[in-house]
Amino acid sequence: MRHILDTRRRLPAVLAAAAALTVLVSGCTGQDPNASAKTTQIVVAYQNQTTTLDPVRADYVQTDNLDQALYDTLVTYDKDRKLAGRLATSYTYNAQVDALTVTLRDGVAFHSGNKLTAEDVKFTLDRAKSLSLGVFGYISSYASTEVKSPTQLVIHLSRPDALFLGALSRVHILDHALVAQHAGADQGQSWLLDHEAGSGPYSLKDVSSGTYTLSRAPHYWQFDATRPDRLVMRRIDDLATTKQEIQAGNVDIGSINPADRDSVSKSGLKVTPTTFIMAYVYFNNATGPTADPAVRRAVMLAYDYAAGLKQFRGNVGSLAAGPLLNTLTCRPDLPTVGQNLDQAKKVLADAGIHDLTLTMRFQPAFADQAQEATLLQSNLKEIGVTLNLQPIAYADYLTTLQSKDTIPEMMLGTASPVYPDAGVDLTKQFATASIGTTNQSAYSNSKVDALISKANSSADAQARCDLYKQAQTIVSDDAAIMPMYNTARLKASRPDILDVDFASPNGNVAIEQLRIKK
Amino acid sequence: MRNHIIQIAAFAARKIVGAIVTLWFLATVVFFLGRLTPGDEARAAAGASATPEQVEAIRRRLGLTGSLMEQYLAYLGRLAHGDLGVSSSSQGPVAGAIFAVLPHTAELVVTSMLIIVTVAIPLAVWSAVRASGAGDTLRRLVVIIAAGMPTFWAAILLQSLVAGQWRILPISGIATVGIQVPPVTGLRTIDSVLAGSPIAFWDAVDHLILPAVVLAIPFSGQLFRIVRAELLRVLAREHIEVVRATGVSGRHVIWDHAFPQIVNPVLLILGVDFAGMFGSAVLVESVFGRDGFGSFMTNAMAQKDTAAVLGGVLVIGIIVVVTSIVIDTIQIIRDPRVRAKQIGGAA
Repeated sequence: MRHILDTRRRLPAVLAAAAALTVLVSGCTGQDPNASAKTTQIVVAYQNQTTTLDPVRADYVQTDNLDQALYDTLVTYDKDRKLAGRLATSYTYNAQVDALTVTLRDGVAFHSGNKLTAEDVKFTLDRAKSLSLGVFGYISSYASTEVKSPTQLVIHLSRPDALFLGALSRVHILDHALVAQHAGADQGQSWLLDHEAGSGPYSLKDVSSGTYTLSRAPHYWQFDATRPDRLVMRRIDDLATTKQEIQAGNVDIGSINPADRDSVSKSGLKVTPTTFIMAYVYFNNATGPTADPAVRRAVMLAYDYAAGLKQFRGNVGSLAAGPLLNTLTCRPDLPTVGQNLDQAKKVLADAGIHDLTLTMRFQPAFADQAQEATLLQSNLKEIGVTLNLQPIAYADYLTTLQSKDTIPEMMLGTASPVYPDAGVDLTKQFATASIGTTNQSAYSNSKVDALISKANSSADAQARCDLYKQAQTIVSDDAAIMPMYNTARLKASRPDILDVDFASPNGNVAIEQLRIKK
Repeated sequence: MRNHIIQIAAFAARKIVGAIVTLWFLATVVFFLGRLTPGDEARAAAGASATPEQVEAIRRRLGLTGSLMEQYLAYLGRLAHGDLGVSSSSQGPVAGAIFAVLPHTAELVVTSMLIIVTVAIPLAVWSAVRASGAGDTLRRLVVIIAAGMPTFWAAILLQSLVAGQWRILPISGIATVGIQVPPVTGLRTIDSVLAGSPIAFWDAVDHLILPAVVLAIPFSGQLFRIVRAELLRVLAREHIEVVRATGVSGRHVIWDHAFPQIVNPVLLILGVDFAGMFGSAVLVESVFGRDGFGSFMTNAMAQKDTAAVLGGVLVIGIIVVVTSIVIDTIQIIRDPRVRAKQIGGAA
């Protein structure tokens, strides 16, 4: 018995010693090795897996965010969301808007040292066409490239396409000699997973465990010493973790929950709304009960938009006024959405609609969407409409878009423009030709089609703008979709970091534009 | 002697064939489930803006145009050559993508297992030895609460306290930004040793402790209860009383006579837990910002990347099968009764 008691006494001591050793070990590396580098590097927290760095998959936002820093594009959008040249010093459509003459900036070199020429542009566009995936969806009118000289080229399109030029802001120009060296059997896709062949303001130094380390390119044609020496992209999926890392000084920029805005601001960090998106409910305009405009209007009048924005989106943003995001230009003056239950009941009664049951799909992975779905369900109950909620995964939802017969009656979602041109969203969402791919509401109106087609065939920016405004007014009158609010993500950042509000063409923070206040 | 070698060879052959059949069955079930669930892989791979022509081109490239049986046979053919296929989302080899993240999760799971073995088992033994009174009740209560605590919540709580407020350990990540080692095995601790960098090694250990503790908590609770109950049962047996009566010390009674009798169930539980931890790690990895196997699988499923899902499931299957073989082998080596049953010969 005495020995058993000995065991009893020793065990806690051993455990305590083990615990003390653990704390001691942890203390060995408690010092931040980057303390002195803080002013010359920026650590950015991002969410979700970066599947590849291959520019052909820059349709993935995570890929595009990194590629915008590693590569150059022919054109881009400035801080005011206006189209501007990047590698291209001039770009002109022909009268038929089916050919684009581009002059390249001279003296640009890739990180490999190879000179960037028109052949690289041709290679990049031909490769996207050959692979036929990702960003090629944005430039599907591309036919061929005619190289006139190392700095002159003509891009031929298979149809008039005024949207093509803006889409080039998502097409990153590859060093074709370098990619050819690593082409393998898949046109370099495997190699470009975690290597770069770009000419951008940063080069890739290291890829490790979801962390990408980028180093400022010393010979970049637009070299700026206020860019940080190093950009580190760290994957942190959980926003609560991101907040703690920012407050601890280990991360310099990252998304936070709207609920944490005040506490983060009080700790001396800057909070900036970025990544503007629009929250929608898409109706199936072609089949089922939502094909009736009265049903769509009643649903739109029932939702408590103000409560949704406040409770689920942290009051970041504004209520919708029109079908497109309010950061876009070329938007007409349309009324702001609002709840009117009496009017909603009247619309249903006037149309002779009783005992209506609807079904809405939503992505449960997004907590805010699940809450919005419940709020709409509750609002509709007040006007006598039963709303069934059914979860759906995004990949499955994409499949339902292949036919107007399979498009959900209602689908809750968010959208942001692939680049800031009203024509893109209008074409994707409301052109009849987009049914089966990106027209999520199977909306079809010949007047809208004619306006969009005319605009997309025009090289006159003002004329296009007017036509897009007319199309939006018709879409709004038709109650084709239910725009809810323009909202945004909140980014917390170190106070000395500038241009956090400079948006990339894809709408996210343009990491290549970040500067450090000297 | 010759008979014994034949018996061992037969046992090994049985195990290998069993493993192959298990993996084939797993691959088959997952393949057909993946094909039968809703969603178009080619559509997801081509991107939201892809035209129908582009989707069809991707479908041909991914080999999704033939009949289901043709696709299945082609898949088995590739598998026989060790080819897990090409990811439809990245267009890169699935094997490469898995082995880029698997070591991070393996490192986390092995560390958790070490914590479970070195903390839960001694604590359970101690608790069994002192199995009475208020202290014992309190210990059991603490274990029940810890075991029942949702992993996600425990992760946030410990992260907030230990890392966020007390700053004892890192908040998240696999390594401190700026501390780099050349990747050899993908296991950060091992690579640090190979690189001869103690700073990188302790940094890797530092980043492992908190997530490993969180991952270990529920499994430790389960093991604690089983070890304690089994040990109490053994300690109550008559032959233990006889051993005690012969003057053997308390420590030797426990570790030399009682504990060996509960090793088999403990090994079985550890084996099951080891494989289960690879699945449970996803929440811990998410909170602690660790790029790992769980998030790889979550991403693959969200993108309907069937090749990646199949590859991931197969790797998990291999881990389960190998773990099972290792546990069986240990039991055969240390327990003559198991050896006699599995291989033959006298116990």
